[in-house]
Amino acid sequence: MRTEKEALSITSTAQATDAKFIALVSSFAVIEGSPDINDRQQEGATAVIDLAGEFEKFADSASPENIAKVLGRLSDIQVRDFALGSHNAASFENYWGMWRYLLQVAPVGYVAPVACLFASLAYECGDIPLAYRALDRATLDQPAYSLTILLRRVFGSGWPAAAFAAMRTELHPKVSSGIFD
Amino acid sequence: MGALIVARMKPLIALILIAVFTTPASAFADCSDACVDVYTKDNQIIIEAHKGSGSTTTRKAPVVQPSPTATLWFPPKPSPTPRPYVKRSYKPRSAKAKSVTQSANLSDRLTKLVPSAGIAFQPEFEALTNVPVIFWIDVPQFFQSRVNIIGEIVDVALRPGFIWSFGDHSMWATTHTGAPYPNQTITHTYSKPGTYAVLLLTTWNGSFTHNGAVRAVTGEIVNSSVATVTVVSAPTRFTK
Repeated sequence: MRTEKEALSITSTAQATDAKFIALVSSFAVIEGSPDINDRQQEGATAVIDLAGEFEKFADSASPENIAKVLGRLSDIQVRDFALGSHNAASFENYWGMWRYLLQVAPVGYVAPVACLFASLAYECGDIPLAYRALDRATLDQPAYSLTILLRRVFGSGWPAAAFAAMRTELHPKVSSGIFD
Repeated sequence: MGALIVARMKPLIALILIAVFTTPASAFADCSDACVDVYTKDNQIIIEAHKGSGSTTTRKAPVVQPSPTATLWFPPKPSPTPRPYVKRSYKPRSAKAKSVTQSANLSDRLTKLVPSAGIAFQPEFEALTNVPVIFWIDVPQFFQSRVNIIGEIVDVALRPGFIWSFGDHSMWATTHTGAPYPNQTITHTYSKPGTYAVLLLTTWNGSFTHNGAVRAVTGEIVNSSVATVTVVSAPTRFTK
């Protein structure tokens, strides 16, 4: 399994440059300061859970609209933080496949959040080189993306993966209550 | 002439052999006094001390070869009845090789935890947009611990570094812990209302002192703290 992950490709596929798909993703982008931002954040968080459910059933045959919705909504930091803590040990493999697929189809400008999410999963399962490769994609997309900088610092310090997972678990209910309460 | 030199050197060789076999195990050791190492593992400080060669060595004492068969003859005592003389023989004496276990090794390992604390901020309830929020963390600026491990005194000194992620793409790195109002060492101003997840990474690294020598602690310890800050907008209203 480890060898499989070492050779895992996370480069973008043709769908990432498809004009129609790019337009669809852009339509779901969250505009900072918009009056209905909390609604958008709630939609985004729900879309993450829904898409994970779809991936569990149909793998990468999930509907492009739902994929675009998650990619677009991840541009919001609260949705991204919600997504960071939405998996657990039981759903790890499913989220692994989902974030990897989304990383490959993410258009330019939408790569950084999903790359950070995938990097955190790779770090948790001990695949450090893959985690760094994902962060490299995030940096290429948005050089000053704050979570990329933070994760680089965390990964570089050799923080135990279990402690990282514990941090996510601690963060998740706070982010959830911030979005839904 | 050569034989004379050899004969004169015999006591010297014997002395060297005695010295070699009676010297304590530490003479063979890598850590003749004490080896102390301080490093981090699983977010804990590990202090290891070791005295001795590192492993228990069992050396066999030199085998004393039996001397050639000795046969002694005693003249028969005069007796009234003459007895045939007996040629008595003695069993040769050979010393049994005793195994000598030299276990002059001492080692111990201690684990220390660094302090951790939660994030505190003011105002605690509904901070306002465009008004600075004061952050601080209740950990010491300096962590010092003296441990006595197998008789060796080790002083560990660590300093924290903080990386704040305020949840709105802003980050701040500092070595200050911050403090409540009126201190404003660590502040952040949110421009938009919302609930922000604040993440703090505390990184501890430093050095340890043993026998006057200062060495760096290998690795670092990272702790995280999270908090959520709710920020509401404060519309400006003009009154009379």
